[in-house]
Amino acid sequence: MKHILKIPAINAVGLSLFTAFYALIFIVTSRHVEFVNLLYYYNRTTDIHSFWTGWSSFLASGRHALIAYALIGITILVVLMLLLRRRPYDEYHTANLLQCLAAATILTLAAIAGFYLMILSNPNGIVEKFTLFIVIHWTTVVLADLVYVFVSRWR
Amino acid sequence: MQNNVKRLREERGLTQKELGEHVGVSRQAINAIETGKFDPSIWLAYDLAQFFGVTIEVLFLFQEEDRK
Repeated sequence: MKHILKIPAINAVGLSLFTAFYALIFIVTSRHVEFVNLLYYYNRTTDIHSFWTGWSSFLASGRHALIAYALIGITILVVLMLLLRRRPYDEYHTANLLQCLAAATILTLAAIAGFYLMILSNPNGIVEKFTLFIVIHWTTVVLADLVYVFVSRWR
Repeated sequence: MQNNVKRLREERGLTQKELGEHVGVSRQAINAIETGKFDPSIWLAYDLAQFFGVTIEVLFLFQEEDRK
C-alpha cells in the first residue's frame, strides 16, 4: 500500500476517477426534468424545512453543476501538481497521505451515520439529503488532496 | 522519538535539504525526524546511521516510554 502511494500518478488517477464519477452525475442531472421531479422539497412552502427547500431550489435550478465545475477545476490543479512532481513521495509524505486517507474515511463513516439518522427521523427529501452528503464528501476529499499536495511539495 | 540527527548534521555543516538528498528523502522528512514528529522506517534509520558512521542506537535514543 505504502509503495503504491509513493507514486504521485496513483494519487492523480484516483482523484481523477473520483471527481469524474461525481462530476458526470452532477452535470448530467443539472436541469434534468426527471431529477427535478425527484426533489421532495422543491416548490413546497414550509417554514420548518427552510434549509431543505432552499437547497432543493438550488438543485432544481441546476446550479449544482457549478459545484462540479469548481471541483473539476481544483482537481485539475491537484493532478497537474502531482504529474509535474519530479520525485516520488518519501516515506514521511506517504505516512501523511495515509493519515489524510484515514481521517477522510473516519469523517465519511461519521457522515454516513449522521445522514442515516437524519433520514430515519424524516425520510422525505432523500435525494436532497444524499446529494448534500455527496457534496460534503467530495469537497472534503478534493480539498484534503489539495492541501496535501501543497504541504508535501519537495522543498 | 529523541535522536541525535540534528546534532550530527550540524557537526558536519549540512543543511536539512543536503542531508535529505544524501539519504533520499525530503527536507520536510529530516525536519520531522529531528523534531521527533516522525519515526523513520528501519531502512531510513539505517541509511542515516550509515551516513553519519554511527550505530542506530547512537543516532536514536530508544526509551521505553516512546514504545508504541
